Amino acid sequence: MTRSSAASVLLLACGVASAVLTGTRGQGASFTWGELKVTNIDPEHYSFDFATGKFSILGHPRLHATMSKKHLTVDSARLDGTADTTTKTMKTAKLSGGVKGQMESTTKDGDEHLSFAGPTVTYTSVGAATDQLADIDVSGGANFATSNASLGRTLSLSGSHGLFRVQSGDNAALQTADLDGPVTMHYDGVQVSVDRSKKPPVTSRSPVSGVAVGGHLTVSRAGNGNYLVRMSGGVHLKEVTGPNAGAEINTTAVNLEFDTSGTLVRFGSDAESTATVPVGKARG
Amino acid sequence: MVRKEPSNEIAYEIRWKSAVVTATDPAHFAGVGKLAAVSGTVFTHGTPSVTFSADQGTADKEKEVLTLEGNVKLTAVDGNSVVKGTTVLCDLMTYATADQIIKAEGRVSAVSSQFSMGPVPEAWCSNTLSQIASPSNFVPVRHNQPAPTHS
Repeated sequence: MTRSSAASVLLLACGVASAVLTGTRGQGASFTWGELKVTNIDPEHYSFDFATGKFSILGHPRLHATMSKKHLTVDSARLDGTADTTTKTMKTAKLSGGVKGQMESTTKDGDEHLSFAGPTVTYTSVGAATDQLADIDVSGGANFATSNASLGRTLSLSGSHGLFRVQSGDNAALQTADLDGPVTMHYDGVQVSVDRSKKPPVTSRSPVSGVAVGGHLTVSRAGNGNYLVRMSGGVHLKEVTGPNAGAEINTTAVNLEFDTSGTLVRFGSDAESTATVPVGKARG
Repeated sequence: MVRKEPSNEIAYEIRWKSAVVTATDPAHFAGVGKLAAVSGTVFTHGTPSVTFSADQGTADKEKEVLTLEGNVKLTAVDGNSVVKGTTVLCDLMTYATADQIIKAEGRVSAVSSQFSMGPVPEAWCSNTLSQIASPSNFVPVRHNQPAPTHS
């Protein structure tokens, strides 16, 4: 055998060895428990204790988890969870490392898309398994968004920490939220205005978008299902597009009400405020 | 063949269809040797906890290590355990009575009525199959087991 052919054989052998190692190391493992399915698990870092329901998984480098009944998908670097060994449902899951989650549902108003992201997310099932309610606690910088392309509506929230209660499953929707500041809220959708100077009052719908920053934000649901958003702690709000585009408000707190489809139906402040309205936009 | 722990509790019981024993090594007679078509039972505190089968196996009496090779199948059988029925499949398994950890290698997967996992190149399991983990994540103290012996 010549020196060059020996070298070729050596290189080939190294290549085969490398391919075998890559193939073994490159394949992520999978895990299913009830409706939870996790793929792309690091085959060298996992632990399952089926007696207690506790498990810990590292991604390879990121894991992908789905909960089909909840229409939930999550990507993260690590997952530490506890499942109910009797009902086979997830009780809690702590996700860490660039967590990105999504929920999808099809409503009468079109496809609803919820997303959340943050360095650490704790997911906790709330109520009975059939309730499909969950608390999503995002810390270290929280981002949450809900959008409906059919309605042309997007609401995004960010804060240093956020606790979101969501309804998952076929009717995925945000139920309540509590964000610590600094909080930023972006809204892009439709505003309903009622001109009561007309007889009878004239209702108009117009595209509107705006951004608000404040110290704290809560979302709750009214008896009729509407979303009540209250931002407090020194609020600066600006209407970017819409009937009062360019208008800015500085106040202690603002209250916004959205109907169940996410249309802005009411806006107000229960505290002393100052407003600046661009020339030509002020209404009498 | 029955292997007993120092406490006189049965550690495991192994059966086979044929065996080849090295005649030049009488010290290991009936201790080491290729046993074909093996099956048996691992005991935990005197109670059958896991049954096993494999193409072949060896039971090293001196080192107190049971080794199974080829189409290894382990099944949790403890009726009091929530993991009863859990099955682990792999290419190679060793079980030392010293640490009581089932060490599975080669295309390891596990499945039960509740879950499935795998394939992974290596997994360590408690001798009830209630815990399955990568060697670096295995926590023996949860099961009051001795410290693992990393080979």
